[in-house]
Amino acid sequence: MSSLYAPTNEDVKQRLRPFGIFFEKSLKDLIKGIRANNETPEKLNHFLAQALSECREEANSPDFNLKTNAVLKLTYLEMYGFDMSWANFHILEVMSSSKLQQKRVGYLAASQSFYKDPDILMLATNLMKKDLKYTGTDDVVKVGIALSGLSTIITPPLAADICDDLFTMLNSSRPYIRKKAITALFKVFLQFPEALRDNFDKFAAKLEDDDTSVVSAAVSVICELSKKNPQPFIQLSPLLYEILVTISNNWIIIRLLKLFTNLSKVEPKLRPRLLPKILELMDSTTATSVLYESINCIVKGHMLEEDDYDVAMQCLDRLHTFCDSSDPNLRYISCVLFYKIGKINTAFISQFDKLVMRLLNDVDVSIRSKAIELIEGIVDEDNLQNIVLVLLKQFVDQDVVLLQVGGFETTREIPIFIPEQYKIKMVNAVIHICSMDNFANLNDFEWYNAVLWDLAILSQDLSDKSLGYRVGEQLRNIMIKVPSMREITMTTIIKVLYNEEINNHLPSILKDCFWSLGEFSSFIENGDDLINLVFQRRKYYPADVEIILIPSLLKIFSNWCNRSTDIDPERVKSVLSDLLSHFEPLCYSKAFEVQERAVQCMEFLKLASEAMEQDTEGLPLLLTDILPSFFNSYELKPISQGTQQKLQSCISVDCETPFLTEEELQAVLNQEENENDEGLFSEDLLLIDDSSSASYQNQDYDVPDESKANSEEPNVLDNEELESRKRAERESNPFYLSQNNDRTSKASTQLLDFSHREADEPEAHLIRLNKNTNGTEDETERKRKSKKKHKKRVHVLSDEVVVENKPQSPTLSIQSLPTNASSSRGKISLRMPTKLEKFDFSKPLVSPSHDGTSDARRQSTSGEQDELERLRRKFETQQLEANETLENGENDEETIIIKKKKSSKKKKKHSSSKKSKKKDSVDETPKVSNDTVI
Amino acid sequence: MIHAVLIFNKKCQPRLVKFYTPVYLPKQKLLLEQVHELISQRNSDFQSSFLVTPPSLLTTSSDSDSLDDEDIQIIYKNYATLYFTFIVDDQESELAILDLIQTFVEALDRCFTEVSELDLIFNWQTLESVLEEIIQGGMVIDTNVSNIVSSVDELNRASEQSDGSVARLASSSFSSALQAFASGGFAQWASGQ
Repeated sequence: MSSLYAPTNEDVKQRLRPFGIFFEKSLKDLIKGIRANNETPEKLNHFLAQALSECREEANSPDFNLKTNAVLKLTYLEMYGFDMSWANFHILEVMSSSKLQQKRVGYLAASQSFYKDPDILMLATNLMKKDLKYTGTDDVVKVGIALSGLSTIITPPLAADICDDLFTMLNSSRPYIRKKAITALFKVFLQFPEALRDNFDKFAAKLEDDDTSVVSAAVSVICELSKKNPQPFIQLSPLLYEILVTISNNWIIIRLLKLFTNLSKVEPKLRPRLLPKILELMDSTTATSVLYESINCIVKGHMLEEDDYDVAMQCLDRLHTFCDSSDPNLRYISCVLFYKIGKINTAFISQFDKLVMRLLNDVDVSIRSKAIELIEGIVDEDNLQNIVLVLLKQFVDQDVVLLQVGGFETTREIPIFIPEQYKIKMVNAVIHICSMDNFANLNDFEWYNAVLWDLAILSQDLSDKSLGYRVGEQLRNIMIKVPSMREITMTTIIKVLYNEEINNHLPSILKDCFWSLGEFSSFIENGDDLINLVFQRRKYYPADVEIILIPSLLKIFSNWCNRSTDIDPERVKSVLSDLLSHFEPLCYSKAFEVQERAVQCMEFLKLASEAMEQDTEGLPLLLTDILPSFFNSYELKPISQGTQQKLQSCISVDCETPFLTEEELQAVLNQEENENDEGLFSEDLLLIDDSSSASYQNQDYDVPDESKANSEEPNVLDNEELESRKRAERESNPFYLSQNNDRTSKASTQLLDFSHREADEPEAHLIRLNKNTNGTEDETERKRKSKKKHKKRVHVLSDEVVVENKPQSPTLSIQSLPTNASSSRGKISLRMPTKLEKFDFSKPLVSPSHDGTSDARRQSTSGEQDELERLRRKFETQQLEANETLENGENDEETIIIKKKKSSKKKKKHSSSKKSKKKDSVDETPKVSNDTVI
Repeated sequence: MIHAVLIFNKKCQPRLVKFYTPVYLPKQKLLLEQVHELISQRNSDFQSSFLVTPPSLLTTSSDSDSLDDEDIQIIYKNYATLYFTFIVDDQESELAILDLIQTFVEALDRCFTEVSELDLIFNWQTLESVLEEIIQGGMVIDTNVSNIVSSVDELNRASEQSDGSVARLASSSFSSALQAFASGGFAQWASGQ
């Protein structure tokens, strides 16, 4: 660098001193001090506090150099989080200095601090207007400083006040001033759109300026403005197009492309003219950035139509090359664009599956994260398992990627940190691609069961606890929708239940697991053991799981009591009393729903246990007939999300007509004495049943509306292949391996119902599945195993049509789950308040409203004087307070205040302030400040 | 537009914090910490210059803002111990911003002849004034290294001159002249006389 341009030492020295030697020295001392005291945070804080109080003292000094110094240091210290808005008045003083160096410091500080207090800007307005006046040669610098400074602090009133000055500057002879003025106008237009409406032509003329930097600034400003409100700029399209065709400056071309993106979004007529030109530009340009922005413009400017394969392929081919580039930046942004193209029509990207798979293993996690979003577009039956495998392998804290370094054959291992956010994204992605379109891409549900189990294990370490709901929901969905897989899914659910770690860390998964267990408890042979198991774990369950658990326990109990005739009544009694003692504390639960359900179940069970006492021969009717009748009347079928809500809106409730007429009521009352108690209770409990199934249906939001009855061609993978793949996966994945060790060590030797799954079915067999009900299923399983390439047909139930399906947005969404409730505190909004977006440019250019604004301005000038008085008072007060809190009313402080007053009043003030010392200082402050108004 | 420019080192010590969109100080600090956290997880040699959005910038609670927040990009470049980070919206081209960071660093390099972190620590004011010639109120005003450096030079020269002339006239500035003399800049000071 220095060989190209050799500056003299003098040059260098001067450059490093924008604010002069004196100011530099003091700031340097401060920085040195910070470095010297950096060992411990306490020491640093002590030093900074000391430096701050020094600054406060210096800022109050009458010496402008000291004051400037203090302001400069305060500006620096804001970086460390020390607010300097208390010094706004001092900043204003420094800004008004006639010395350029001091002015620079002042404007720098103002640009950093004035936004916090719009009042100070009222005072600064006149000063800025003066600084924007262009009188001599040196003023180029002065005006430049002012323009830079005010560009960040423009408020609506300030914008209205200075816009005329800025427009005058557009005619400056210096391009430097013109470009700065145009850039400053951007903020003015945002706050005061009237200025743009009334001076549109004047402003647009700058697009034809002789100086490229001015044109560039104008294009940039129009580009930014058109993002907020594109309408008024559409009329400039021919001119902008002309510039695009003729100009060779890449920076401006990129800006123009961005600008056309904004315009084309609202004006489709631009497309036929622009698109050929942009395609031509893509062919002719050598700059990657221009090529990229061209594609970006086509995609984001709505110029790519859904069926326009020709243009899409032209874009995608180029992006494909970028994705193979060695530059990670290029790969990343291309990946983002790929996604956007895929969103227009998924068919565009479906052929790029190899590329996406490669990007999923990229060395850069950001790129992987973007590639995950692409999966949806490329997934199909054949590559689903591969993709999931790739993702599951990445659930490690540190991944290692082999990368070719340089052009040589050498490869290097690069460790990559895998952030948690990415892992959460992977879990969601796996669930999404497997379940999308009613499991259209999935044909091996046994494999999916294994995947869900893996996800359950992996999700417990992640902070997003709603993942548990999602995994549980998947288990429930396949339980209902894939009848042939129910035993296997049941095994997985029991496995989840057995795993204490999951119970502890991810109880949210159990909600749907319990529901499935209850609903399909006829598959379970030893329900009593299951009930006992649940009791051991109950300490982990939050209220929303408890709600589902209560009816589920009842269902399990019901199915267990009635599964065979020779059940031991004593055993039933003991389970019954266990259940009662479980429900008892729940009757006092803080959660209302839990309380209600527990009370209902408990009352029924109490009756049942009373009946057991009386009836020693076998089980009472209450348990054998009535309890099952609560649950077994209908088979539940999947319905699409929102169906329940639709039904509710169709039902009209008649609250007026009594259920029973007077005579009927009397008849019932008479009858009641002869009636058996059971009847009444069974009615009550039917209500419970309703509510439990209702809550299920409400949860059923993941089931897609479009239903396809699927009898899919199964995957050619046979079981052995699956096993070997699993083994390979475990070997390549250290996390998986350790998990496996865990499992085998815990594995019990209990009897196993599914012979072919012995190897990785550990403890689940403590709960035995009912062999009888699945005998035929077993047969087919075995058949499949013996015939290697036998195609298995998995039937996936589609949603039942209950009401006519109208497209309706689902009311429940995953986001609404309570676990995602991160507070909005600490959120940063970079959105700037602007009036431009809603501003109506259609009003006549020279209109009464223009006069109106000037009227308003005239009015405001009359009121301005009062306003200024008020503000001066305010700042004086502020200063005084600052002084007093700091200095505790020391003598020299008092005298400084007095110096500011008019000389004629000096004596009087002096005495009054002296008096004030004697009095309570807080009392006196407003009085003193009132007097100081000049 | 460009919302912010952050320069900090590997220990998250700030070297320059410049916001073009008003953000309150505690939140500036929070953002700096989160950006640093995200960057420190990355291997800058092999990974891209784009960060995922830090938590504080993610969609705010009110829905109307969500569209705009999506567009925020954080683009950084690593030079030795320093990270140069730009927070921009979708009206800026990603690749152009990368070029701009490069331009910024080249301009600094030319100002310091061979720039190092130590230079930037002690010459925060130079950082500010160079940046001022590149970005004004969040808009890029110049991308040419020579133009940028000459603008900085011109501004400094004018400041020195005007200060010198005032110093000659106003006796109250004598102390500052003395100070300048004491700190070894006699030649500089004398030339102004």
